[in-house]
Amino acid sequence: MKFIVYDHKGSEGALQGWAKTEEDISLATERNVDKAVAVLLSSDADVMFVHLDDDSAWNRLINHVTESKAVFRLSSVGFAPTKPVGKGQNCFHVIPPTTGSDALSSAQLTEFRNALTKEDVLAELRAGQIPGSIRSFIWFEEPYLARSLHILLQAMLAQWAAETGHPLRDQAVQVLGCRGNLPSFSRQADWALMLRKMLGSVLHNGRTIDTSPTDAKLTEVAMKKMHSELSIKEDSSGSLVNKVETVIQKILQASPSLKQDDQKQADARLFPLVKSVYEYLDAVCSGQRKEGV
Amino acid sequence: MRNQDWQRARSEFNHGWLKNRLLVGLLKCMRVAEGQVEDREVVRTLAMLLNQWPEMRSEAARLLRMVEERIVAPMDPQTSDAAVLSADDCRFLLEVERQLWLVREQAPSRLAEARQLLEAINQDLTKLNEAALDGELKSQLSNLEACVKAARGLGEQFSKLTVPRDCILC
Repeated sequence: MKFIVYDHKGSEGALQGWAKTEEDISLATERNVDKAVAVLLSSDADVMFVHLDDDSAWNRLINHVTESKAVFRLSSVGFAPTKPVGKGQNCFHVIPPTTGSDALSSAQLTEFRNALTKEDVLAELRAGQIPGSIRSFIWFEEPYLARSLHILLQAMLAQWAAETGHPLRDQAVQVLGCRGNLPSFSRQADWALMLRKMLGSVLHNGRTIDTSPTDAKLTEVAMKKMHSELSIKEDSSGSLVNKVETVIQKILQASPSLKQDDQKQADARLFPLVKSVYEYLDAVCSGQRKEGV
Repeated sequence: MRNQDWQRARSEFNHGWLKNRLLVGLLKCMRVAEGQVEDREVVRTLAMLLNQWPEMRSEAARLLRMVEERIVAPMDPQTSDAAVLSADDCRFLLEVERQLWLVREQAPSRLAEARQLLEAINQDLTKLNEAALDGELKSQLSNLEACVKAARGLGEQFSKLTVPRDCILC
């Protein structure tokens, strides 16, 4: 597999600096960005790594590059999760580093390059799946639903952590990683209603709807969206999928009118699941994506 | 200012100007001052960057003020969130997020450090600006080194700055 690199910052750019240390990588060294794009388009490389600040040059590249090639756009600060672009959906934006400093290190670039050379990785990427080995570099979809669920589970944990004498208090503090000056709801929180509204809104793109879908329908559609957001394969039967689905179901089934002691017992039963899914989503929302819970 | 706007403005200042323009310009000047390369344009470019500094400094201060606002007070829910969830529920969810951010991200100490670094680079750039740039750059080597160090420090600190999520459903 042939690689070519273009860095608009030339020899001062970190991408070009890295490429020089790698074997078998061609460099487009033209300082003029139009000439550089022409060199990239006429190159026989299969994969291009480009650091381009000029959007019009990027657009020229992705509109003319052959569909059989793959183009990866990098930036010192990374790009937000973006769907593939280009006529062949073969051009990708590299997200910010999920570990370490704010810029991809040489070791991370080498890891990315090596991952791309593995069989099926590019084919899967073109088919819209993000192989596990490159998930810390490429991500397509903003995880709106995952973030909403994360913020709800976080609030549940905070509520338990803030209540003096709550049997889950210490465990909740431990999961959150800090006590902080957590607020406490002045009334009993209706998590089921909150989640129902969240799912309804996310699933209907923020529009308020007159008809209320059943909880089963909400869960079903939420899980489809979660598969897409977290790039979980449809046929996956892993524990992560089951846990996310179960936590949604359990919260939706929760009754807001339980007596205090019954509520605490119900919370205790729910806690391991909340902890597990929250920790996974916390990693997703902070950018440190993991393969499973 | 909403988070999205803050993130964009932070990136434009930190990545677009501080790291990609000022730091690159200062490093070029250092190479010229050290006699490694010749570049007649470099002094003019530096003068232009120094002229831009007051405006950029205000922008950096504006970005830090937003972090301070998040530190000192709870966030108001977005209208779109409040239309779906109740305003009370939104406030609670956002306040949990903000309190955890304060502790996990050590927001107050990061803000204080960023302000110190902003003041430090301001002093270094002012000193450089007051020097006779049309003379020999060589005589400004120590000033240039101080500015490079300060720019790197400020850039790193701005990269570490975060703000808590201000939106629940987006």
